[in-house]
Amino acid sequence: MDEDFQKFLHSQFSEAHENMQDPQTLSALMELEHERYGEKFLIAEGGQKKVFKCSDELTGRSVAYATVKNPDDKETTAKFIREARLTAHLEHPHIIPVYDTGLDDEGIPYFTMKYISGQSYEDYLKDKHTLQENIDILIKICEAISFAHHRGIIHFDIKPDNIQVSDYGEVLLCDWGLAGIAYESCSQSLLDDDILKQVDLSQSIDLYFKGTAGYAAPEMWKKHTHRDHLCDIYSLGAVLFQILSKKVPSQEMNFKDMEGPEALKAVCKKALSTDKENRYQTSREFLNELLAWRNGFATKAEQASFATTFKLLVLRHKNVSISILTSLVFIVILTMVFVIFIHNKEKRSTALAKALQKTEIERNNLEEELAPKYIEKAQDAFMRREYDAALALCEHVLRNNPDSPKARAIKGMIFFCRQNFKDAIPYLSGNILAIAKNFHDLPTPLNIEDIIYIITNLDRKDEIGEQVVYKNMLFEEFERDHSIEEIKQLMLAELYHKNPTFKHINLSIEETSEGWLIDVSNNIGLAELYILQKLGPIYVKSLDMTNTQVISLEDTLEYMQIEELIMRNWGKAKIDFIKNRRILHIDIQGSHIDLSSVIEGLPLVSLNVAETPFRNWSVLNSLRFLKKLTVLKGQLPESIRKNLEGRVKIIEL
Amino acid sequence: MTTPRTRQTLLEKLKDRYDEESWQEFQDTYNPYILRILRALKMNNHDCQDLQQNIMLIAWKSLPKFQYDPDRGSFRAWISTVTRRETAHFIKKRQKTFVSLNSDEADRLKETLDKLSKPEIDTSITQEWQAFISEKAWTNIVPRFSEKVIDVFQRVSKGEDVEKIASETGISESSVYVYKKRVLNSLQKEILKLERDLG
Repeated sequence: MDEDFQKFLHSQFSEAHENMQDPQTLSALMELEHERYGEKFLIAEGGQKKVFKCSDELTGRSVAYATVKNPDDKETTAKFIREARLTAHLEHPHIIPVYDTGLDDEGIPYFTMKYISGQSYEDYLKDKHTLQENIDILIKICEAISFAHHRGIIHFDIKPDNIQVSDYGEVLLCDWGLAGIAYESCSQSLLDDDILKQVDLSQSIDLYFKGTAGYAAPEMWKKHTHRDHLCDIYSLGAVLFQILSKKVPSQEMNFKDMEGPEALKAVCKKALSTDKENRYQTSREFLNELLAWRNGFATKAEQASFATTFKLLVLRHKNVSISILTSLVFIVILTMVFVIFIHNKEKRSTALAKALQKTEIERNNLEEELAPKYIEKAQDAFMRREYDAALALCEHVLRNNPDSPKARAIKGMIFFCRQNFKDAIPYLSGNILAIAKNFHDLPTPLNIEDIIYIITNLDRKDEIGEQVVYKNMLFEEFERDHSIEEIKQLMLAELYHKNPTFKHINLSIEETSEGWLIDVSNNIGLAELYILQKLGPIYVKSLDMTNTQVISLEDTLEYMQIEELIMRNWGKAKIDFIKNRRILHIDIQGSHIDLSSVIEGLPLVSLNVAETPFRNWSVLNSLRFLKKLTVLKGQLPESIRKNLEGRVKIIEL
Repeated sequence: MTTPRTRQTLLEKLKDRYDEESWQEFQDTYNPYILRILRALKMNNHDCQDLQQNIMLIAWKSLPKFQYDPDRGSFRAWISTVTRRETAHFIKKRQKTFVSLNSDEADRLKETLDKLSKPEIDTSITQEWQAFISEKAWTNIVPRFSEKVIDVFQRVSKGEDVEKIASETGISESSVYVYKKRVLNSLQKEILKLERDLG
């Protein structure tokens, strides 16, 4: 690949992303279906369709992709499309959702549905589950059917094989391929759907002869009968039969095979009535019976006696019943004890109780009032890095008010400062939480690169929060046992962060047996160098700040003891602090600073004030240790020169 | 960038399997990217190999724990951080153990370490990612077109005169434009797809 073309390719990265901004281009880019759905794996095959599992590249999730089995057969294809449309009309938590329908590259229709990782209800029933668990699933299916009937849609093929139970207990009714529409009661949107109208489905009986006979109502077998929603009720009854008898229903079901509660047996028999007028007339009625049993009431089909009702009442409230009995016994015993001791105890105990109550209330009120004070104190302690104290205060507040956002935040930030990111995470939010998550599984103390990452990413505008964390962490790093190189790396990172426009910052630090050598010269325009302060109380052999004029020099150099101070070519600056220092060598050549007012009596050994506005020359007489003086030729008054001659080496530039 | 943030398909797949085969696929996919960063940092061949192996192992071990989380950022950002950190670590160890590195070598390492501590490093790592993705996208789409289409596309994109290309290849000028558009579309789409899958 030659270089020009390589450059062109690289430019396409941003081109592609710019195109993304334009929704039209984006949809054009993403529209080709064979690219939307990835590699397909067959998971099920039915009479008219095949279902695959595949990944949906557009949304990144797995979906079930159904396609028509025999696309050349127009009728099957039409039914297939109809199924997709019809299912899409039914949005219910227990009905399989259809995501997308369309034609693939070869014009074959497909639709995609939610992919469920789990098993069919048929297999679920074969596993050991309690009756209640099995009924719970049937209840959900009844809710789905009840919803569908309400919308004028009849399933006509309810059986455990068409019910999916996911690994997480989700229950979905699938396969609406044979469903019918009750046009007299369906919604307008179904009536308006042209595709649905094209295929009349009163013909779908044929498929019933392929093995699911036991679930189909008797009238399904007769020609020219009106088939309605009562067929679904029969099928639901057949499923209930299967739950109770553990047998697959057939045309010759024996009700004696059923085991379990009489109530459910009665419900089942009623739903399976051959004569459809005797069945439950709506799926809601059937559902209510199951719910009644589930919640411990007598079902209507059972025609309950008072004894049954009472038994159910006790069973339903088993815990309450036991409690009532136990309580009764206790009450009797306690009353007796109480009667005997009541006279001597009564007065004292009421008084005590009242007193206790009072102090409790007072204490709570006080705690509430004091909480902001505690938090304030905790914040102060946190800022002073007195973590134990701050934590104790936070804990105190949290005991009374576990949700106090301020106390939680401080607690989290203290853990963070201590690099205990794992414990910090539950208490943090926002930016700092995101940072903590990056480091929660790394060994601590973190190395310097990680620390730099953290301090440059903390939000310093958050004055009582992240800014404090940043300051504290920076402080702690300087206290840690880092090499000079690492310290330098940290200082540089900090300087670059604060001075984003600087391409290069001069910083040289060295620790020698005679003290530190610090050179920050030639950083014109650098506003401040507070970071130097973090080095703490060190002995500086030489500090060169030539051409690097910074503000608040006094603060910056607060903890340092400096032997030689070089600050050539500065503008006007306040240097009063020199008065109290034991600086031995000063070189401020070319700076607009008058040193004469601040050096009286200092133990200076050498001094360079060439090209500076030095006014009061007589002050030089007070410098008893001066050995070397550098001035501009002709600057030094003759009388002073005479005084110094012999004692001081005078260099004139 | 407004790339739709979905679960990363390739990563998900690898995580699900997490065996010899997916390790191989993981390496094949991300090795070239790591190598690019290391090359940009001027690491020599030998060091590159060591580091690369190291970084891939760290990434691989953390893969099951890696969950897509918008707060935490993309896999690519994470793997870049690991690369940066491991490189710095590697160099420091080098500097400590080999006191008498020859001076060229020492200078080179020092320079790299300096680079790693500066903010520009982010930009250059991002550039390497973009280059990696766009070149991989190109490799992926080339087989989808005929040699002629690819040839025409390469010539147009290098700025060759359309008229000249048309006469030399014997196709019409409008076909040249159509070819260009088709390949360009495919290329950009592939870039977006790769970024979503691998980032």
